[in-house]
Amino acid sequence: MSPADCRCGLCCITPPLMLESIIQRAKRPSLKRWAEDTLAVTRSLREARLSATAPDPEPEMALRRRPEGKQRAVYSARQGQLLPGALIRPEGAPPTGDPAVDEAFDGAGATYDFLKTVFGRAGIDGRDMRIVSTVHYGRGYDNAFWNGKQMVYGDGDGEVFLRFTRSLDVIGHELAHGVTEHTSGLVYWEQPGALNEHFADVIGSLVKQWRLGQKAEDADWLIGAELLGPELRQPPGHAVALRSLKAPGTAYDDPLLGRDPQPAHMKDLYKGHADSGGVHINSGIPNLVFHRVAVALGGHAWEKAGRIWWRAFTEPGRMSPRASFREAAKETIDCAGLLFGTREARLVAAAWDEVGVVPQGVRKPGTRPGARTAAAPKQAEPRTTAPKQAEPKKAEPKKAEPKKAEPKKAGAKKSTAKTAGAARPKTAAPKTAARKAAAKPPAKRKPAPKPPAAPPALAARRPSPTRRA
Amino acid sequence: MPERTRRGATPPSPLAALSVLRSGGVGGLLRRRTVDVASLSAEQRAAVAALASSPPGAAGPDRFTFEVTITLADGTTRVVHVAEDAVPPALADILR
Repeated sequence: MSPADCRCGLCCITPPLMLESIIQRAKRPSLKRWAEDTLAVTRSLREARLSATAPDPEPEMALRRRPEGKQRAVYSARQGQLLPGALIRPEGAPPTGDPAVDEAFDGAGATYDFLKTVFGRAGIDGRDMRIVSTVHYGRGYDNAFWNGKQMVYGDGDGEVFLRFTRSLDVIGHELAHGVTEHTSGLVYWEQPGALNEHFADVIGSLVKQWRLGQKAEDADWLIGAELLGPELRQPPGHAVALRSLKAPGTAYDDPLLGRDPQPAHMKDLYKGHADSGGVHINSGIPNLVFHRVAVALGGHAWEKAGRIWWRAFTEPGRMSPRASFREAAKETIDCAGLLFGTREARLVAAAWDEVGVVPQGVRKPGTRPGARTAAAPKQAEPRTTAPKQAEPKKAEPKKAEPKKAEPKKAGAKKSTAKTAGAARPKTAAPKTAARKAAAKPPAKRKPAPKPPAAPPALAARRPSPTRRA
Repeated sequence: MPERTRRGATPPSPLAALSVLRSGGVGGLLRRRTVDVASLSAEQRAAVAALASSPPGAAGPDRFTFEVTITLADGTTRVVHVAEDAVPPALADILR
């Protein structure tokens, strides 16, 4: 590869090759973990740099005043890999008869309309940036992706996968990656990356449900069902989609595809290096949470569950770029309470509890008060009871209370000056760690566990609330 | 000027085995394949050898990533991670 082909112009003092060697050869788990985390940070920086330096598909548009409203443009790469390719259908142009072009055009429009109508969002960046899509990318290319500036769709091989514009949820999924880039900036690695993928699946599924007018209980909750080719519809294999939000791990079990690896609980969390630390794999856990919340709340999934998730994942200063599942649980519970009330917050908390995620700010069972929380991937054993964020009178605080402080005086319902500092009466409603976490303003979010020796530039890249819409 | 050689320099061990694990993509599918090294051209062998010292690239949303396991004739094994954007043209048919 010539230097001219290298598009990741990020130079770090510790080369990735050295870090990978340490990962392979280190005997101490802590050393191996440090190298893995450092490599993840450098990869995330490269990803950010790559996104920022992805070629502007329409540089000439930068000279023009940006119009308001939906502005789409679909290009064709004509089986090549040069982006954006040749302009085929600009905004306002009639259908072309090319299914890939027209599906990309219509799907982008449906996603824009959904974001605008339901969340009041003006497109990907909140300022009506042009929605650029390129179809017919590569030869038999079995994929679709967001490159930081535009969507790109392959035609599939025609046997295992059909063209990737066939699935409205996939189109919505790709556009949602753009929204994430302009809002939370979730790093594409391990749990933050799985949350990035999860949010994209949620938006993709909601766009489809909204377009079809489906209620949560009637939706199929599948991603990419329309992409599967004739090879995957032959027995003895089973394949219905790329992923299922309703039943992670069941979308396929096929000789060609293998078995759907998505877990439905933290105890089965994937901890390998493939797939950027399992971003498409572990997204199954929060996907299931969202499905359960949507069905439990009833009605259309975008009306309540969608709004909760939208606020949690896009509100400035809320979700941090390196958020863990625990942070996402905390933020979604908080937003449910803020937007709707205690009942909704409890439902969200219960859904996270069912998949084994303890919200940030809630002490994990078996840990001491004030004990340092473990790193994000090392989740505690599933709780047997919900965190009960909205139930301050529940028994959890008793674990933090010294037993000797229980007042013995008969009829003593009020604390006195002597006992106030020593004990709290049973009738009091002590603040739990969960309530403290819920009471904190969004700006005081706790950062996700950071790897050692994080580059100073990472802190400077945290999005400012005023910059992101 | 006569050609100079380093004392004690040993020629690099030839490529013995090559396997690729592709992950990522919008489907997040894991696909493993073993490459027949005997069918590789000289250019492809050189590109494989250069992989270890090339920048790995960045895995953007829904891009493919490749875990390449290179086994040399002397038994040494090296695992290299390559992002889709960083795949050398000579290896485009192998890393796909």
